Amino acid sequence: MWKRFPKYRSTVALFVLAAGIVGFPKLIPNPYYLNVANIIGLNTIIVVGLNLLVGYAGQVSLGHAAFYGIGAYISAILTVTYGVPSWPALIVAASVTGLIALIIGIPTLKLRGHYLVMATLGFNLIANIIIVQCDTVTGGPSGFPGVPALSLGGWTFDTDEKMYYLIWLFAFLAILLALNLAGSRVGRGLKALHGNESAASCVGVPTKTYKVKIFVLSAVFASVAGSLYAHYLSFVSPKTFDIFFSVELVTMVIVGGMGSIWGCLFGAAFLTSLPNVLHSFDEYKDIFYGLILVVILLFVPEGLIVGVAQRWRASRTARPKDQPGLETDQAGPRDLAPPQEKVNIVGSFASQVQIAPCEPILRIQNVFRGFGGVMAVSEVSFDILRGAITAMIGPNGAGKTTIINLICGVYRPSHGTILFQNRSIERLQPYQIARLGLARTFQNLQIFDNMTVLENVMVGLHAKTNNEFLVSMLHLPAFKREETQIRQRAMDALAFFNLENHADIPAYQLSFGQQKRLEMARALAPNPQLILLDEPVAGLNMTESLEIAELILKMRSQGISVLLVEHDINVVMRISDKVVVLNYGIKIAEGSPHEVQTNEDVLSAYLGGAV
Amino acid sequence: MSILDHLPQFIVSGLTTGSIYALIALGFCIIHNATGIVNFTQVDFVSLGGLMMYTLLLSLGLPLILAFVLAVVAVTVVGGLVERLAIRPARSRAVIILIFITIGVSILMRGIFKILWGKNQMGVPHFSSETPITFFGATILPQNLWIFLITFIAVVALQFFFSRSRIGKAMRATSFNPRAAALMGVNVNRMILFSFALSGALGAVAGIIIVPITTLSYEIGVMLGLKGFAAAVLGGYGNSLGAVIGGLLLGVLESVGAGVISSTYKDVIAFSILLLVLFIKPSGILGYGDTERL
Amino acid sequence: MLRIESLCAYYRGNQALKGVSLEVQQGEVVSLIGSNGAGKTTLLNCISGLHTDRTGEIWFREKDVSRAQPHDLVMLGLVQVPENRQLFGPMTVEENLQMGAYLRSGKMTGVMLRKEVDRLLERFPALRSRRKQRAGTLSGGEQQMVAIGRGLMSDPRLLMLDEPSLGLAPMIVQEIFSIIKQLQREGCTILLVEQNALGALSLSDRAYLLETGRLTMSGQSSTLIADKRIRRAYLGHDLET
Repeated sequence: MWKRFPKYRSTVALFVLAAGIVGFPKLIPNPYYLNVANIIGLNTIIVVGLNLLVGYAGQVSLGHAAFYGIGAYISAILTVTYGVPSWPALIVAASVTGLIALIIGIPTLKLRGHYLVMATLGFNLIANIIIVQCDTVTGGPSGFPGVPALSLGGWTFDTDEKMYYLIWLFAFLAILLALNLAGSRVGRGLKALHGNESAASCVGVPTKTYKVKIFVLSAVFASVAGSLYAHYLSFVSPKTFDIFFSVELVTMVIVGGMGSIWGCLFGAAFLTSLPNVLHSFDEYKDIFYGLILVVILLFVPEGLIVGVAQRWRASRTARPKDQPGLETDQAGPRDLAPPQEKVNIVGSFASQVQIAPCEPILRIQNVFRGFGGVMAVSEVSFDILRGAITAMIGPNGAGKTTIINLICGVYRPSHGTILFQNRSIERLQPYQIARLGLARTFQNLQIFDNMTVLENVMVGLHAKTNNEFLVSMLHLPAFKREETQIRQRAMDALAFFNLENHADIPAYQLSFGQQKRLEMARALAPNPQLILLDEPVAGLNMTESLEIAELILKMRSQGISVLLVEHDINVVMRISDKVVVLNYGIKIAEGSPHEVQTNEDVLSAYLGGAV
Repeated sequence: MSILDHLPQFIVSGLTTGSIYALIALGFCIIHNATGIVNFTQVDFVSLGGLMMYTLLLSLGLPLILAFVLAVVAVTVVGGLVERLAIRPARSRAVIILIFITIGVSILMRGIFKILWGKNQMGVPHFSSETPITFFGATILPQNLWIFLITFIAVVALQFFFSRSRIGKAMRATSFNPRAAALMGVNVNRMILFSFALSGALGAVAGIIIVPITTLSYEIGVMLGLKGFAAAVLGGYGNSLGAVIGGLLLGVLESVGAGVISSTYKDVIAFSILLLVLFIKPSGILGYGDTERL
Repeated sequence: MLRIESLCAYYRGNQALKGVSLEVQQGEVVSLIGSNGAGKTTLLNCISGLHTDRTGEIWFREKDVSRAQPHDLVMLGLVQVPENRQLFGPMTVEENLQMGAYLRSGKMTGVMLRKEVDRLLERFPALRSRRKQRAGTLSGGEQQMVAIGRGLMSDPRLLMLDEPSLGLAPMIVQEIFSIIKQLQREGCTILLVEQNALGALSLSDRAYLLETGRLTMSGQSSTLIADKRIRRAYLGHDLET
């Protein structure tokens, strides 16, 4: 039943959560448990935000305890020392925290790798020491007392129970916003950049901006939780916000499962109540804690909730494909039956005007690119014709993939210009170029393994759609409208490539041939002006290759310009309008397939000379 | 004027802690080069070195040299065990998972230390006399000299090991290109095991030589270790020479900075340097040990 | 000497090799040709024990080495010179060559090892002056020589060369091929993987053609070199067929 109504699954779960929140104090009216529940709620807010960063964007912060602390201290100091009303204080705290996160995030997140871990680790240590040392402002090591209770329209949240409802209202909203974001265009973009940053950029995801934004957002979540904490306990102590709490927060994410919003709830509940359960074993708390972290990471790195759910599902449904790869041959021809009666996605948005195929859509002019003293591409110039198939061939290491990477912005030329529709693009980022209507596939498949088949195609539409963070989190009407279009268009693209029956399975479960088609579906879904195909038939058998060749011809007939890089000369000679031959990074020939095939230089470049 | 008067003293104490940071930073680098991860158990190797020294020297009453050697051997073995039991089974996982495994093991180790050695502060005697020597206006303890000497020996020995010995060269080769190293017949798993053991030994040495002039506790390595990490970033993460320079530089900057501003902000200075390096020149003073590929 | 039976290999669900069987006799030079993506490198990595997602049997010197670790195979004398050289770039030429002798050098003194390197450098005069230079700073041709030299330092029974001509200018390719010829004259057993089909065929005794994971042709190199089908595999069938 869940499988048939996946749309309602999270709605039902949210209702169950709401009911549980409302019912808990009635069922367990013990003030001690209520206190624990409040702390769990606060931790849930932080962990939900942190999981968006860790589980979706693939970046880890060891500084969230500091953001939590900064929120708490700013709220405390503003309300007590300066008499600011508590709600504006909370907003000021969140803004300042967000600004700090921005300052840390911009320089560190533009780098590849895990610099954020190091920077946030250092930041957390500094913040903690400053809080302890600035005792005239913060109260120093003994803490900051006397924070007033929150109130709203004459109603004061002055008991544990009242505060319980407020905290859990916030926790509920945090979960709701996070779920909304996770299931949106932005969420898919984040997942994609986690899976493969370079590929995400090429489908139009502004990866650096997204990483910074999600980091700031998660810091704001932590800050809000901190403000609530200060008002709840009416006292803040620097001990609460040290680096070990940051580690604990990330542990909650890991225990619950990276990328699982519901897992956050479990992770926060489990690790917050653990010290209380282990009260009598205080001595052994650290040992137990460390063991849990190591054992989970070693045996269920997906997290307890996700990992157990996966295993349970796997044990119930015998997976149809346990033998990887074998089904390519068996199912290939049947799977690849010509998609005649399917929706014709190619070009269904294409420009109506037919343009004579002599005008260039992309011009490469005198381009050079070196890598560490070796010239991978030198002085290459050629045009890609509008509405035609231009092939680029050459032996291994000739510089073909380098040129593709130069065109789509992964590399910048050392010298020379690249004009796309008469606009110079060699200084643009890959996602900006994707927005101009350029799509690509990759030589080594770059499927986003961490996403479903459908999501892979939906993320392909990133460049052509607009929903950003706020619209997505709040599910504004604009969101639903565009989301429906994205889903529809992605399903059409899948149907065109005969993959619609696999829409909801994880992409890595597809066979190689299916993955190749998925990648083409992803590239074609936004209806690009120009598509760069990097070895679309490599590794496919003869039948499959011919099917792909047919598809490429179909793209052309719908007005899409194609740059084809391929080693399978059969395919190249059969379908290209023009062939460019490279060797050692230099263009050695250019012309019709026939001209190139009879060119002596080309023959010797390919077959090599006898010794 | 008074700052200048104290400068020699700041430099001596800066170089002393800087030597410790350098040794710890080297440990971080060796494991980074072998596996690409940040190994947070490095911190606990330092603590364990000091704790073992305390037990062997004071509880068991072993002679200084024997206690020193046995403490280093013990931590070396522990380093190897960490790799064998916690890292190797998960090595195909993402780097970030591995980093968190080391954090988990670090918490676990600290929990064990707390039970075995308690939360009390302990003291370990100096290696030789405690009579200070005055030198250009700076007061130097013989233990400072021991720290300089032992750090120097360790760095030179390590350099010799990596440039001359067969295993050392194989470890370097593995860090540059593990696949090619395997094709030469190098057992890559064993090299990674060695790198953990070696980092354990370096951490142990750092812990052993610093405890006489500081107070020993089960978590003594945490702050030292994190600053050693900052030193490694400052020098260029993964670059061994950078680690040594970064360690000494960080020690001196911290000591002088604390003297000029206020000693309460000593730790802030060290970590601010870490942040500054990450913001301005993330490749550190000497650049990466290995270049990052796209 | 080397015998492979129905080897299949997988890459993330993609079957890269589909039942490959081949053998190399003592003293032979056998070339394995085929276009990019045919599975040549995968095959070598299977033999060397680097690629483990596979089925089938591999026998080397009458031993079943299907489950052997890479270092066990080097110990037995099965040595691969990998594609793209894969030198230890920041190490010197001499250190790279010493790494080639890694398994043997456990029992050698420094002097013996230096003599071995001296002896090897006689074969590559161009490298003699480069001895203390970092390998990463050499030209492509010199790097390929170091790679072959490093393989020879392991004292191989069977040397597997993966695309030694890759990315090299024609002049340099000639030079590399003449080194291989020299090795052949000395009685080395070589499995040569090449895209440069004519070059490989002209110096090997026998050859196999690998196309999309299957061996489609095999025979004496001198016969294959004249075969139109080889040309077609590289430059396309007649458009009508």
